[in-house]
Amino acid sequence: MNNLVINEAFLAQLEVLQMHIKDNVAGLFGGNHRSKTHGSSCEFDDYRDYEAGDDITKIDWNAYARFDKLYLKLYLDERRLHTRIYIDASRSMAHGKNEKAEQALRLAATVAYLSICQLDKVSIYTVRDRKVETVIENVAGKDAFINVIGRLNEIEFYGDSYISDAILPENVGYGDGMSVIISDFLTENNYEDAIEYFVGKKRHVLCIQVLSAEEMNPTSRGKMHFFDSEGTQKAYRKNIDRDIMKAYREALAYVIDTTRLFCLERGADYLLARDTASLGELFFGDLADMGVVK
Amino acid sequence: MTLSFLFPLGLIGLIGIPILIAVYIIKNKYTEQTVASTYIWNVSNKFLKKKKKLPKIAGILSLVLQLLSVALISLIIAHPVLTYPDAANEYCFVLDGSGSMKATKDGKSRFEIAKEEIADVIDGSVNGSVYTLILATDTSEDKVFELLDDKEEAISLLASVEPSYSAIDVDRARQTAESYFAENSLAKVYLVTDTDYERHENVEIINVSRNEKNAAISEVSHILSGGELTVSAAVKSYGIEGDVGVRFYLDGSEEAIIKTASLSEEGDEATVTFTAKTAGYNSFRISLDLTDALSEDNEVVCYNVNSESTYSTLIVSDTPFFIESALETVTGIDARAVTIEEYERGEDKNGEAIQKTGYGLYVFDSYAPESLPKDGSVWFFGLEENVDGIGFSIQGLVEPKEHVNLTLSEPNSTTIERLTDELVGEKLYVKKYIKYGVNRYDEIFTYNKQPIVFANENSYENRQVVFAFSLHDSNMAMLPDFGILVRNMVLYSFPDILERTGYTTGEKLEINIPASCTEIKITTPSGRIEYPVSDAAANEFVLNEPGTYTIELGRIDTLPLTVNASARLCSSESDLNGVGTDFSLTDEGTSEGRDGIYDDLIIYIIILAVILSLDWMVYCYDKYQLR
Repeated sequence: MNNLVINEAFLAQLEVLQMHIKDNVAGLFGGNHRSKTHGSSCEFDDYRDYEAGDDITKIDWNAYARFDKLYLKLYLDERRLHTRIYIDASRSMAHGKNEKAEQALRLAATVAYLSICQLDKVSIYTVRDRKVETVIENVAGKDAFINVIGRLNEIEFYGDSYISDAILPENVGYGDGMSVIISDFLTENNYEDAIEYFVGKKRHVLCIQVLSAEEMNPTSRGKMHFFDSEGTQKAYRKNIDRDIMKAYREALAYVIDTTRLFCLERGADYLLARDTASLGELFFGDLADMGVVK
Repeated sequence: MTLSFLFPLGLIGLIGIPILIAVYIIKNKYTEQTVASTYIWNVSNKFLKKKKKLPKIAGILSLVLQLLSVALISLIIAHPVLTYPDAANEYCFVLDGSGSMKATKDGKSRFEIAKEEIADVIDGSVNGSVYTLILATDTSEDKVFELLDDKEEAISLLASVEPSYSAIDVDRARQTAESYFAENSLAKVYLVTDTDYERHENVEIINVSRNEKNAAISEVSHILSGGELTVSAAVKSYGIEGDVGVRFYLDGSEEAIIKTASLSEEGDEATVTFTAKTAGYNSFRISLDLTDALSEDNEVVCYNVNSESTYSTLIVSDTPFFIESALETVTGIDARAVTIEEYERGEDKNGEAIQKTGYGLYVFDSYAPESLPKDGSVWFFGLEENVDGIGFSIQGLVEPKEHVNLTLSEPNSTTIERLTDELVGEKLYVKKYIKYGVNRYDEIFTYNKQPIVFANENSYENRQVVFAFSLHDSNMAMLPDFGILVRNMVLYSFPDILERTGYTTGEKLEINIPASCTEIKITTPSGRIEYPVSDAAANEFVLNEPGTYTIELGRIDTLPLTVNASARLCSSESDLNGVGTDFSLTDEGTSEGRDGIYDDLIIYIIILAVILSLDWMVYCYDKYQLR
């Protein structure tokens, strides 16, 4: 696998971005995300009547002087989130010139870095066949991240992908951050349950569908016998003519729309990432437009 | 009905059919390719509309059309010809009209047999057929008749053709036949000849040779020297073997000198030599004493160029003795001498009128005529007064203290060489002479670089010889050189009318027409009389027949000049068993003309164009989805 194409200039640009997690979240203390609960951040939220046992340092004495009643100043709490990134490591992601796999790794690294920058924890997993394997777990802090990010290069892409079968048995956390699935989603196998599982676990879900240029616009014409890289039993044999190409384009649009609508209906974010698209386009363009980053 | 092909090699193109099928089979194999995922492809099946039937058969349809195209192209190249048994045909006969076709055996010549063969083909052809006859000779390929559809008329016209006496130009005959064939590619072309051709395509050869035997006088040479005429004749065998008598006749004599030439085998050549005592001769004839297939090459007649002219001369002199005496020694001179007074009066002492024109030569001795004769050569002796048109000026009389010795000029030109031939040039003295100013001349004798005796051309382009002295002022008339010089001057003044008298059939006459000539009449060996209208036309006259040609040159106020020339049969025609290399006609075709290749194939070409168009449409339909 090629080295990750993430240069310093790009990372410097990323530092101005923040992951925007929907809803206030649960999580550990010390993060950079506002929680639903009140805590010790500097951001004022509300007043409430003083009750016995409350921290007297948070009494607003100015309000007492004016209203002759004790009010307690409430501040928003900021929590550390846990970003979990699941990379589809099946053979279809690495077929051909590896562009899809490389793009998937670049996206994973970038999302992870954004999270690290917001003082969140990051875990990166691979999904292959019916298993989830840990690549990086609970990494926090830039130094630690830089030390372990090289492991992404060691990921091997082979086998099939059963995303739901792999993820459902796993502990994916509850309400403590974002779950990112990076896959081509070109499978008859179930991945929808996994998305619903994440949503059920109150996690912010981002599905990134990576497709190659050849998949977006196939160039093969004439009598073709296609074999699926994930298994020879899957095949397609036809004379590729204009009708077939028209049907293909309709099918492609159908697959993309189905995935996107499924995500949107469940409150998950969806991003279509062509393997040729630059990270700048994706993060400063598409994800920023979607409000996933700001 | 039979199907034949003009170019069967074109059918090699049919190999393209199995090749095309093989390509189609190979091309129709599915290309295997592994893709990241076949998921979208399989999903696309849901969106695929039912295909129409045409696209499904487009591939096989394209193949069928391409196979048809290949087959048609091959057929077009092969040029199929359908022949119906009872269908009318076109016949083209190229008839060899060379001299060898005159070879006779059993009373019939080859040419007659050739005509019978052609007549048989015409007679046996289906009514409605058309016939063309090309008679190939050395000078032309005459279409005796072309596309004639009347059998009787064709046979009648065929009967009237005769061969020439010379060789034919085979290439030209072939080109004529080929141009005909190009426009009438369905025609049956026959070459009726006595030559055996090694190769002949698109032509059927009818060989009328019957192994006739022949002998011929192949070469004749002669030399007249020391009062003896020696003639050598080479006799060549073309199948004749044994002793052949050779007869030699001199000057029309009936008595012959007979010698024998021994021929041992075909191709053998024997030379016989005849010798006759004679100071001169007019002609001699050599003939073979045998009967062979071709009699035209058994006799040769040779005429003496020099004796073929008579030279009429007018001498104007008060003392003509020397000149007249010298001229009498020259053969053929018909001289008339008159005094100056008689000449000016216009009649002689007998009252007989003196014609002042119509002579081949005018001699003026110490006399200047009023005008220069226009119709003959002129000699001047001691001319002291100017005459218009003489081409030189008179500068005055020179009288040296002592007689001067004349110097003979070096023969540095053809004219001087001719005029000084055999002259000694010694001890020739002149007491006095006239100095002339002349620019263009050929000097014979000079003194002190002054031309004393010289030749030039006057303004009428007649030849002129000028003596700058009177014979009485010189010892010239006493010297042997004078007679020789006069003879040379006569030969110079009367150029030979014929450069040569021996020709071969097919050659053109080479004749020098004198300025005084008013009419040319040529009588051929067969008695035909021709009147060429100009010098150029006379020199374009082709000697088509072997034998003696008589040429008469009419002149003003005098008898015509008569010369003879002989033509012998072209030696190549004596070989009666000639072999040719190639007489093939290539069908280059033109878009014009009846039944041309374009006409035949137009339907094929149209069908081919339609098929190729259909194939292109199917291709576009299949590849570019034009729907």
